[in-house]
Amino acid sequence: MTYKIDCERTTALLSAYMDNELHRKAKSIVASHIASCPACARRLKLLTSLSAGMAAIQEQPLVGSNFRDKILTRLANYRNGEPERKEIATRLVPLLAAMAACLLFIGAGLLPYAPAASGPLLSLDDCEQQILQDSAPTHGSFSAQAF
Amino acid sequence: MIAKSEMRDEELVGRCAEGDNEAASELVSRYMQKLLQLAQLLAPEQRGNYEDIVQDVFLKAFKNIHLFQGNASFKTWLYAIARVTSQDWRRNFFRRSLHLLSPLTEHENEFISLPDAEPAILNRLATEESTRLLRQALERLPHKLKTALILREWDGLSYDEIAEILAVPSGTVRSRIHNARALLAAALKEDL
Repeated sequence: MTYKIDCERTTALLSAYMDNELHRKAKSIVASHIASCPACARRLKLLTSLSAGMAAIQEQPLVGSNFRDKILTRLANYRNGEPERKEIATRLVPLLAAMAACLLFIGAGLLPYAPAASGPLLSLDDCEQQILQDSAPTHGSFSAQAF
Repeated sequence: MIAKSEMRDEELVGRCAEGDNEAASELVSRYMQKLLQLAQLLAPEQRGNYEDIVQDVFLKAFKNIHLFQGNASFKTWLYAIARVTSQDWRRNFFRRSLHLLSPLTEHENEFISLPDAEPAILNRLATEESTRLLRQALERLPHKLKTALILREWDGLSYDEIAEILAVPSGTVRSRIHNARALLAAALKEDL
């Protein structure tokens, strides 16, 4: 039995046909359509010309002169058991985080004993004087600064 | 004794697994440029990091070389590692906007018609100017289509191999390549 397909279906299969990616049967159906259809034959020619054009513009990316050596050095380091930069960072991060947490904890513990944020450091006598002044009754007295 | 440069990939892989540094060096020489090209396609926004990506690919490959079983070619296996590695780099880059990982979903399920092959287009493709036009049109292709097309045209990979590398069905590869070619042809026609 001979199968036939129209131009629309053939066009949809042309790219895979050119790449030799159709099953044998489909390939033979498309081939027989192309043989009898000048429009589809031209479309196939267009695809083959595009493919040739693609080959002509193939680019090779520029590679740094020591790129190959860098890769081989990393490989040699790995084989010698030396940790990767990333691995070093991975190991250091928890350690640094733990140290930071300890410092925060100690800092928070020392906070009540911290000196006032501004002004000179008071002597013990001055502190005593300050406490007495703060605890003195203020009824009936006005501070000039309040106005 | 056969020179390393004349050995098949699979033979070099076997030697590499036994710790042969020269075999590793030969594999690096064979694939470093191809992988750079692939990294540019798979992680286009990582300009400046392509060499680092390729270094990571080789290191992952050599670390896991004992897992290579030869079911696929070494090239396909290596390219699949390149895809995963490029995704990792992109994931880190777009950590806060993961949706950008697949920005190009257009043309994925649609079928783009191949334009009529008028003699003018065919004549245009025969000229030297076509090289410049084609390069421009290729640059403008959505990168998923461009990647599939380049793996086919420049690497000569089969649809099944490309599907394995990109982790998509073979039918998707077929439609991406078809659509890429249809868009290239349309771009050349527009420029007439």
